[in-house]
Amino acid sequence: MTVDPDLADRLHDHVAGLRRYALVLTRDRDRAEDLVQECLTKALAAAETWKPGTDLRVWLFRILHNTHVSELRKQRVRQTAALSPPDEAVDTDPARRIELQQVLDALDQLPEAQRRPIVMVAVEGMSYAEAAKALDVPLGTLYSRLGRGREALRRLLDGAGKPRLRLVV
Amino acid sequence: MSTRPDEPDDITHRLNAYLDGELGPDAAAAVEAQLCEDPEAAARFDDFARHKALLAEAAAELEPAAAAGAGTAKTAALEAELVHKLSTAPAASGRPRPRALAPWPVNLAAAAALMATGWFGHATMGGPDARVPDYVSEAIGAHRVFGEDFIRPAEFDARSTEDVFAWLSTKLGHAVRIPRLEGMGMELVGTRIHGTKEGPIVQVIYENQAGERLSLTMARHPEAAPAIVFERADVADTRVGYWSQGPLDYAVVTDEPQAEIRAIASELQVAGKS
Repeated sequence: MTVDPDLADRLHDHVAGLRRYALVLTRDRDRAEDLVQECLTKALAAAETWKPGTDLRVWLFRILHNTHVSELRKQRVRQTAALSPPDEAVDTDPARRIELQQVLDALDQLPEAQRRPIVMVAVEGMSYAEAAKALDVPLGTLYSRLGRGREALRRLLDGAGKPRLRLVV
Repeated sequence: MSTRPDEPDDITHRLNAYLDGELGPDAAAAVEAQLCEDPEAAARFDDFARHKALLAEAAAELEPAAAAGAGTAKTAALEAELVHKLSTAPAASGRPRPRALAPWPVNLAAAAALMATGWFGHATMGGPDARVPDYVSEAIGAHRVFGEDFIRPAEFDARSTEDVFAWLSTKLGHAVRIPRLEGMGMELVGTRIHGTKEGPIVQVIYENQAGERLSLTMARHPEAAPAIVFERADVADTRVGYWSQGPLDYAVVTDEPQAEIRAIASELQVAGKS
């Protein structure tokens, strides 16, 4: 039996990453945890499709992404997001907390297709090639969605002090 | 790439690719030159960079509370199961695994001493969804991957384990001796060091004459965390006993149904005090 000595460590980091990604996208702790668990359950069922030596993180994010897409299809409507950074984060000053809240709220106004690459790249530090593989889109599409999403975020956040701009997609 | 009316311009693409480290040195130098000359591009870049950092920070603040929330034990169990499955899947021909030939030694005296001191007063028999601290999840994963590996379980053999403990003692600023279980019929196989987000953990693997394995995992006890008197948990078929003593957290992990986890823990705790 060949065992990759880092596998347990890597998988643990990836699960934390899946949870962060699911949290930012759902803004709901229970739904995020459910998504991660469903992803791991599917990964267990499909374990033989993972080839040792290939990118485990991309494989897992792809499963999570597909799980999330099918969940959204079932729900049709995205529920109103609520989760905020926890108040007990004492070392975060109030102005910073407001900024964090604003950026999460702005992200929520973007279409799913733009939110996903933004979160994968910003939160998980994925390369464009990894994010494109995980989302199963061509690299050009990823570039384009990331660019549109970040421009939209900028318009939304710049407009925070002025009359609120409505995002038209 | 399809052209849409709202398609971002080339500058946006280049700024994003620069921000995300996707450009080669020449292209990156060209963007840097543009940032010096073009205040509008510089302002746009600053916004992209700030929003990216804010998102990463927001996610980092959301995650610890969620990772400590209810329901994460199931995630930890699934995670451990997946590690096991991914490690063993390529060798589907079966593990060269000796099965139980003799029962585990039962140290009734030690178990009685344990009861007398009330040491496991908080002991609970956890179900498959029992919540366990992070280091215990790590210990379970480490045991499933390495404790049960009969080809190369350890990175440091029994002799080199001395060096591991010398290193651990330096790291903790506190002398830690190699826990011995010969008295319970278990020989030291070797040691592994794992990196986790909470810091290093040391896994010591033992084996009895029947080839049954047990892992003892030691991690630094987080200063803010309450001391754990003694807890029992079962995660799928894996049985765990864990506690804290002085500067360290301990976890005993085994898949052997006969193992006397409390007695072993007692033996280790008594040894740790002397």
